Amino acid sequence: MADTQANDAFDDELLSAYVDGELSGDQAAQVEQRLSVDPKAKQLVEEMRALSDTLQAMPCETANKDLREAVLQRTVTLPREGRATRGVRRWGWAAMALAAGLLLMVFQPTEERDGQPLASVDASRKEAAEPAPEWQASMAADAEVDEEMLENEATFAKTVLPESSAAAVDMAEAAPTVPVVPIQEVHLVLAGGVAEFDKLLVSNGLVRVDRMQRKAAAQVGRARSLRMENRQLAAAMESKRKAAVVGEVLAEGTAEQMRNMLFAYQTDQRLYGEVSDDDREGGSVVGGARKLEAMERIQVLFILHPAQQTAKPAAASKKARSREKVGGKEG
Amino acid sequence: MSDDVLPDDDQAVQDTLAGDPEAFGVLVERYQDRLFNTLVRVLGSREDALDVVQDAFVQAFVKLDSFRGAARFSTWLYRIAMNLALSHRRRRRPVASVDETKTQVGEEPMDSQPSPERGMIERERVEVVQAALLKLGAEHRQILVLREMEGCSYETMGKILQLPVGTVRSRLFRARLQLKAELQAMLPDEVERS
Repeated sequence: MADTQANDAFDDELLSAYVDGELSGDQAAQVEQRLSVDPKAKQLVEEMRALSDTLQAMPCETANKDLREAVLQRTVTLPREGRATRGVRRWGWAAMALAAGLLLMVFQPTEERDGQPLASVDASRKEAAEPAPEWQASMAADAEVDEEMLENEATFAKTVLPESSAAAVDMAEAAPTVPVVPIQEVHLVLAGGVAEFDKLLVSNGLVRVDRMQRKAAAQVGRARSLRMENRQLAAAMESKRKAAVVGEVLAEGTAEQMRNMLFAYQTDQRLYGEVSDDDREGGSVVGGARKLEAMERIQVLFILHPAQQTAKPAAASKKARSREKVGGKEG
Repeated sequence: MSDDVLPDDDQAVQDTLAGDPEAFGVLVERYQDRLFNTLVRVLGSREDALDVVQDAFVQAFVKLDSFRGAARFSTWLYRIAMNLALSHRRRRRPVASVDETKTQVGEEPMDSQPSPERGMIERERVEVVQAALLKLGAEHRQILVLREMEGCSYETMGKILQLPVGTVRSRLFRARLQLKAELQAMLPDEVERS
């Protein structure tokens, strides 16, 4: 019974393909034979043809405006991911793979198995030389920037990215990226939800990088310069007490966009919660010791902490380390 | 300017990659209307279609180096646009009712209307069909629009939507059945015509 129903469904698909002229000669002959003896099949074909006629009769919508100038105006300021960048990126990924392999080799716990010490060492070396498949697949995909990347990224974004943030999914699908500079890390106190933070990224033109690339970044090692957006948080970090984390977001954009986003973040109490004037700092800190060009693309890993779980304010501290700037020296 | 003096797609892509600022404009002009029409039917909104068509061209520009030419530029562009359309729909409330569709689609005057009454009937019919389309899932709607309004082959649709041809065939069939059911509820006389 199930087989019969399955066969019927399959056969009806052929009817649809027959309407479209997408069958081979043998298949078309098979369908025509069926149409000659099956009035229901014939009716279905006629209905599908009528449906096609209806849709094809829809008027053609035109924009009634020249999009050319609008598009060209937007593209004139955008950097294309050119061949030079791709070459540097390939080399960059290769270097990161090597570094990751070395890191894994260094930190791989040594195990001796009876009668097979060499095998375990070899296994660990092999494991170290081969990063986690997921990361490796990501790197391999990024190293070959071609149409396949575009094909895979939309599927990947749908299946891997968290569903909680539609904006993040949208941005990841719309503008997938690869890192162009080492990752910077910024700790933020978040009074609002992660979804609100996502909106802040989106509204400032930043792109949320997919989870796979975040893992790659984490394994390679982040730049150690940290920016503490809240003195309470800074105190907690300094006292080695781990502040709770509600989320990690790897975002990419230009330095200008990052500055604007951080400024908006600091001035929006819904996100930042109560802040003192001392904690407010304009968007000018991105860059640090090395001045970043406004359009220079950077990636920042935002570690988000809930406002209510940060440590109580430490006694007035003038430790400069808590106010290191993004892009500054490694600490 | 006729197409005879304009570069073909491959040449326009090469010229763009070589740094010619006007070359990409050729591609925009060539595909903007057709892509806009497709997106209006997929999204059910002229405003949304304008946003997405521009975003699609911008993304194509940014990613142009990744276009190797194995597929046609138009196939690649449509792939970008369909992905963006799917993302866009997640952020927008779907326009499902006929009344809402009236304000968003089909505002352009019909050509060669024999009478105002007939024109109004036709406009209403278009709105109903568009509303029925919007009741479909995004993937069913995309495949129907690509087939019926773009005339894409199964192979081309497979490349645009990143699906095997067999899946294209079955999805298109199910989309037709669903649209037929929706229209039957709205326009019973149309669907029963044989």
